[in-house]
Amino acid sequence: MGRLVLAAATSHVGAIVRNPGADPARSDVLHRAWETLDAELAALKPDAVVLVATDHYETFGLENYPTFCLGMADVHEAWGEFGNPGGTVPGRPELAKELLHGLHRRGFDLARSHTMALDHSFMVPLAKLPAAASAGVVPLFVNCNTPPLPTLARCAELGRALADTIAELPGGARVAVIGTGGLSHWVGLPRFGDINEAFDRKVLDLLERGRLPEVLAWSDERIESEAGNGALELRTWVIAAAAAGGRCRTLAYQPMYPWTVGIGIAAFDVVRPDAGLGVVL
Amino acid sequence: MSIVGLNRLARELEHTPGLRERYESEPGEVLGRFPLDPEERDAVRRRDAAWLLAAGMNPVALRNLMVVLGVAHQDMYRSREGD
Repeated sequence: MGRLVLAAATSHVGAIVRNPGADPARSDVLHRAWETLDAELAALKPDAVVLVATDHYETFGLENYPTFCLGMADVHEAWGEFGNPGGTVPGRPELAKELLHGLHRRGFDLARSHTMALDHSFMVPLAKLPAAASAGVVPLFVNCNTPPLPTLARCAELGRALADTIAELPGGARVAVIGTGGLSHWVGLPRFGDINEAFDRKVLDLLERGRLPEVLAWSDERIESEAGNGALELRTWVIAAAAAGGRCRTLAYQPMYPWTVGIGIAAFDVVRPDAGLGVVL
Repeated sequence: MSIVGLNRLARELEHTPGLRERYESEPGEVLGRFPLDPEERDAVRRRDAAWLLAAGMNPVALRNLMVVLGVAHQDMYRSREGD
């Protein structure tokens, strides 16, 4: 039996690594939170990390745009686009294959890519969480910017199916799930640079109180109107939260105007749904 | 609106070796390789993010296009007069 050893989520904007010292009173809090999360992850000695993120038209174009896509490369190359971290990341193709088939059996016939290159939505979190990079990564792409997006409810179902699939992995595999994206920010829009701190804190508050179903009821129109198109990346948080089944522990939140994003870093209590302790979704 | 053509243009200008430099010297020739309307080609040459957004281009792809054309993210919607 495999084990989900950790579920977490973090923002991923490139400025985190390109301009790390901006507004030190705020950014230092965030960097310490990433260090805390990385130490927690390292102590759990995961065999792999399922990194749930998106793409900003670097890897996927409109010629062929998946909703969900699992990366199955031996080594994933990074784009290093626009000054973001480049290089390569070790994949976990055997484990990815188990996940692909396990999710398929559970009604999620994901696309797969044996070459999936990674943009900053994967690479920035890996730069801040080196324990994840060294464990080896199974990247899971989620369409967060090309409507129609998968519904938040569908993403929660995927998170639960992912947890069930991990639980059935052979060899006692220890797997972490980390979502990346959000919180409020506007990409490529006139409102670029703005942050909706109230929205961000409401999301975190609801997740901390185990009220994920209320978040799932929000429409994309509402999220985009209040918190920008970048907040549609909340899907990755939903997948991690639903996989864990428990409450959110916010490690840090800061409205980081120099980075143009409301930055959240959180872990989710891993509670097996069949233990009767999970949040009812 | 040639959504697919504009997205391809953005990706290829960013990723195809030498294409960005070719665009600098022969923008019309490069734009002619993509299935774009004349108005769209003009908007790209003007680096007119507001026009392209209003015409329906995805803002994430539009951000990439503007940045690769030398317009910083925060400057996309500032007046291009005198540019």
